[in-house]
Amino acid sequence: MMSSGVIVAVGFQLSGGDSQMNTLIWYSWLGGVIIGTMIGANSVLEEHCKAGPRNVVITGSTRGLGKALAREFLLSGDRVVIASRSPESVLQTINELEENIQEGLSVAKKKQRETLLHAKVVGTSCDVCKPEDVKKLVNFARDELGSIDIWINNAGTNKGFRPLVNFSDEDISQIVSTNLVGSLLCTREAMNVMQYQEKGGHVFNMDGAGSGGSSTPLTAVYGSTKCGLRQFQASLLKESRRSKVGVHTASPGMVLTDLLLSGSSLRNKQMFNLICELPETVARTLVPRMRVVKGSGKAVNYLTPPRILLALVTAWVRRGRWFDEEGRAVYAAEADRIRNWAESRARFSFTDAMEMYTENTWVSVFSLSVVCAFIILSSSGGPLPGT
Amino acid sequence: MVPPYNILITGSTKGIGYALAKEFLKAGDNVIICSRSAERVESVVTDLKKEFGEQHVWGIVCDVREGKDVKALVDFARDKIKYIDIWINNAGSNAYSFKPLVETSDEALMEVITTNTLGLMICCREAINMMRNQPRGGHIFNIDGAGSDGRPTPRFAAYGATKRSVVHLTKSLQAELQMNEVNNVMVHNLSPGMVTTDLLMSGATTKQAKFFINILAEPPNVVADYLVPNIRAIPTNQSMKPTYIRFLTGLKAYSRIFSRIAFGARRNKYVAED
Repeated sequence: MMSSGVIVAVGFQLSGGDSQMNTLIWYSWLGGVIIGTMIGANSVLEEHCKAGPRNVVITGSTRGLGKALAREFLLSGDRVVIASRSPESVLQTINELEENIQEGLSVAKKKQRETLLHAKVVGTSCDVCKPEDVKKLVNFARDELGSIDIWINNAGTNKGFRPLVNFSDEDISQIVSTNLVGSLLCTREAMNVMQYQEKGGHVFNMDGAGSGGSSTPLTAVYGSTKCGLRQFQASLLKESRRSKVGVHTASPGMVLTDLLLSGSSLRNKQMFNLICELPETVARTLVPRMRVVKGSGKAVNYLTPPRILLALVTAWVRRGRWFDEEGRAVYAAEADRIRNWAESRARFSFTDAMEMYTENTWVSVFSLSVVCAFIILSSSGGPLPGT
Repeated sequence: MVPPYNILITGSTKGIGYALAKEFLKAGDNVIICSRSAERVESVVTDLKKEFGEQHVWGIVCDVREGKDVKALVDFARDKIKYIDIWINNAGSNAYSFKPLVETSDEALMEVITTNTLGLMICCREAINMMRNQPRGGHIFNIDGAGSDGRPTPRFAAYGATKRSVVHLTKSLQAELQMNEVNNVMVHNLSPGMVTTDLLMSGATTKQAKFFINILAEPPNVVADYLVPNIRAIPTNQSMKPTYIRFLTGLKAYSRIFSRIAFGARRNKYVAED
């Protein structure tokens, strides 16, 4: 307010008492105040949306991307349920994540501290392709957290890269049941719970290679299950049009996890240098957008056009980023990476900032500026002679 | 290759599978029938043997979801007719359930996914394994269904997802075979369109479904009559290109919808609409 007053005063000084210029200045000041209030209110609302702990369930979250997502949610002050097939790894992951929270608390500033105090991690063993296990997980989450706001179907497996004829019955059955049966069962149960919750909820299914419909030789089974899931998403969207539950997809792009690295060749690894990311990096981008998702049918993607462009432009620099010429990994192990976590989290990423604002925001900012320009031009055009 | 061909069709004791089997037999080919139910296999094989002679048709019980059943099927086929030219993966299920996902039972979900996806994958694997060692090579046909093109299938989301994955599997396998330089086996897609079988008719409960079934569906024998010559043409021409044989093409569908709206054609053809 103070600064806008100063600007108005300066404007009066400059106009030198011309009454027409004075009214113009008054109008633009008023316009500025209105726009300022709107933007302010919007950011307050956004803040309000972002605040408040969310209750999150992530399947297959004791390794790889699932674990990184869980950690990121926790560091945003959310309550997370961990689930995986083996009870031991669930326990181990809970311990690790609790340590991460403590570390986060020790370096956090006051405001962050308050949100971090809400963070809580619990977990149970659950085989997503067994209906009774999934029901148990739902009940566990409701007992521990009260309600479920976000459910992420992250559990997935591909059992390595080789031709279909070399996959055993057991392998095929596990891939199909984890990726397809698991996602369908979990989505059904999550929707069942969420539709009776006051605030509804959001379900995310994870995309993977093949989702877009391009062929996936050497991992045909995995690819076709992921492709099926994309169609499933479209059907769900139609079925749940009037429901309070949002169904979305999240696409992590290529992540350096066991799933991708099992059986990858030297040539693959050189390609990975270009486009792959560490799970923590991907989670840092996906989680803030998953937390504020609204409506239904949204796609939260990591590999967006600006990122791909950036990767192509910096391709030369990215050689040897994760793997050296002989295909040896040159990136730090998970524990070491997490140790440097606090600093890397604080680093500002331009592409992240760009994408935090959805397309709609950019459109409205653009149209607002056009409207402003029009008002200024039309009112200043008035006194010109001959028009 | 010269006819007669050796054909294997999964899930072939009723519906499209049965109609296809009959049509191949009429063309003089040898056919292996299989399905989950022992009595149905027996009665169908007896009927067909009566009509087409003892040495043209054989049948065995096989649950495509079981690896060992499919292996037994391959052994049975080798034993009876030595090699297979055309393997049609027709077995499919929608558990006769048309409900939103949240109301679908565990059993229905499992049944649909294990039959349509898991079963198909196991069959494809065994078929490729068998055919690539045959001097004559072979062709595998996967049957698509609603949702294959990626369009949504509300009320049967699980079925649609599995059928989408069928088409994708075919595509990946084509790429894979080429990569591994297997050039005597090819995987194709086969699209029968809408066929008046139990699978489709169990969904004729809403007004919209009845409308489309009346306009677009055809009885199994009509569909098989069109598909079989097209399938047989592939080994006859010794073509190794991937194909997607479609009965109900877009043009056909749109012209039928037009004639229905313009002239009221095919109203109440299979089910009463009002």
